[in-house]
Amino acid sequence: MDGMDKHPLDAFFRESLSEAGVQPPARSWERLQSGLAARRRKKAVIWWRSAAAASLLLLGFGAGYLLSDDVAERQPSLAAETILPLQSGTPSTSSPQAPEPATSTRSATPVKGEGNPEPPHLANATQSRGSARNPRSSEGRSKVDLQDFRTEEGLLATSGENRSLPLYLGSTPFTAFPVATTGSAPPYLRGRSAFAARILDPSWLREGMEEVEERAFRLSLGGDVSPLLAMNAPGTGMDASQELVTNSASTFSAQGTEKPRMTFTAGLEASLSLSRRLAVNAGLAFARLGQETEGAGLARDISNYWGPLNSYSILTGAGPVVLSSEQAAQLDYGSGPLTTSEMSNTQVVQQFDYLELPLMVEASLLDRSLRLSLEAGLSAGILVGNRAFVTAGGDRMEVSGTEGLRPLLWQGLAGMGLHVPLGPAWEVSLRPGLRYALSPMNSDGQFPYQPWGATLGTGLRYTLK
Amino acid sequence: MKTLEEIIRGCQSGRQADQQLLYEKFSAKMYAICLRYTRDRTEAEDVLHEGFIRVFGAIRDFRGSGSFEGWMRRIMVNSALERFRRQHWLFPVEEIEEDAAVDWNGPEQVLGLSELLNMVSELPPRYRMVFNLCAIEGYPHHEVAGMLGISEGTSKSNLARARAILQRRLGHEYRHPGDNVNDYGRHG
Repeated sequence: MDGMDKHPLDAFFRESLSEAGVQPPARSWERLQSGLAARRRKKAVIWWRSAAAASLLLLGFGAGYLLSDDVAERQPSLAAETILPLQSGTPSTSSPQAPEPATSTRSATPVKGEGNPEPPHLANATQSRGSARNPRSSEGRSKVDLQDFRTEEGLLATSGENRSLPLYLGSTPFTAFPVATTGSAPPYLRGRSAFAARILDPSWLREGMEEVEERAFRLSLGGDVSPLLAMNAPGTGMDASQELVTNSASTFSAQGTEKPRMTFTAGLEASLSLSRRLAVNAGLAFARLGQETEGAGLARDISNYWGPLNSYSILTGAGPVVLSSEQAAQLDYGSGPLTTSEMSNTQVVQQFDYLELPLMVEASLLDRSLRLSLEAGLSAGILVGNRAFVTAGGDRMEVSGTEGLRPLLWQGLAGMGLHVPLGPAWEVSLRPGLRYALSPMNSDGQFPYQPWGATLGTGLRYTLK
Repeated sequence: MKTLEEIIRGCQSGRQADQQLLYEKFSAKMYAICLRYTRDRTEAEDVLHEGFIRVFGAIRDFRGSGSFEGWMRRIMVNSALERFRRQHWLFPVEEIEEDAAVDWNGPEQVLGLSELLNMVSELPPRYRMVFNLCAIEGYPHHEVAGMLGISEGTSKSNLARARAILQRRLGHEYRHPGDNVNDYGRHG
């Protein structure tokens, strides 16, 4: 005690009031009774909802983990082991014909390309790996003859102003981009429902402002995870890849296919409600984006264009992945000259990690026992990780990352949210969303790479009192 | 006639009859506390309701150590505090300049309980909280400061101002009984 209570006025009020009793109105007990009954019912509901929320979260995390292609690739059974039979002969560099399709003639007996002597350093590097690692090499397959690429030199080299890439791996408009979930739910506020048709009416959006002011602006904190699959933007990646394939078709073809790729994203976010309808959400998310190309081939860089002189590159929509000669030699394609079939067995996985700062505006459409909302906004992504993996002949190897990425990626975001309250403070959300890159992720102006995709975020949120 | 221990055990088992007995036994005292911490009867009923819901929700955790009434009392005060914080965390209560109370030698006439409760409940919100917590419950200033998210100095000055208002009201009631002047209106 501070001695303040010794003041006679304090003592007077304390004596008069501290033990006083005032009979509350009879309705108080009736209200309490119904409150207790409602609480018992709610407890049961909350239990079920909690179980449902836990299942949903597990599903979200589980899906993010299990569906992630990174995880799938670590399973040996899923590794690309489907090496196709070899083709004999050397791809003709002078022939105007398109290269043979992947399903072309098989050769029972592998024949090493006679016209393409293997460079000693590559031969050594490859042979030194021995047959134990890849038994197939002793069963009729020999090492890839990277010298084959020399025959492409004139075509691989970029000349003059035409810097289009002679070899391109993407032949479909699809590329995989997992997308970070963004946005968040505004705090759970009970109230009357409103409907989407009224969303454009400003007075509707202001509705409930007084109520919120009385409660003070409310802050919510939460987080969510999302497995996501996304695709390249129509009109950007597709056109670029077609052009590239056309340019390379007459000389050398690696009919690579860019495939959707699934990874995961996770984030934390804060939400400030401006009215019963409107909330502003900001956060921090980690997004592992990825691109995957089946059927990659190597292009030797003789002009110091993508990497060091005479390094090897795999060219993808997001940018070239550069390999040193030694790394290229370690890729076991089998014996004989590199063929289209063999190239289609090479898989390149590019992994881009972004730290994202989303800023979203969210409008609640319906606010009853469930809340339904729409959200849209922007996200700035800072590139924090850039890795690439090449798989060939069953071997997976990490190589240097993708060249020419911009440090910042702007994206537009939109989505909707289904929010289920778990009590006055907690709510669980399911948030399907779409996003589109507003700026290319690579700095090569010729091939602006602007992925889009869809997310399915699963989140949990706590509203501060 | 059931003893308090029996009633508590009944409530812990969720028996509604015992809940009613407990309510009947303590509601008057708890309601008086709620009236002191709130600005009007409606709000006091809300706090009483929230408080009893919590009491019945947490009664399983009451282990019988210490006074049950003291435990309930703390729950009611906490409910009132929570409500206060919810209403005022972003819009702080305005400071009102008042002269500090000086010597005071007791009321000049006998006042009823309802007049005294009204005087306290009509104090500006934070003065009301500080006065209740410090002067009536006996919490030290540093604890009150923590509960209300204010500084210890603010708690002290709020208490002094609350006293000054009450002192004036006590004199005022004496001189002009029935006059409904209060300092609360500007904060409604």
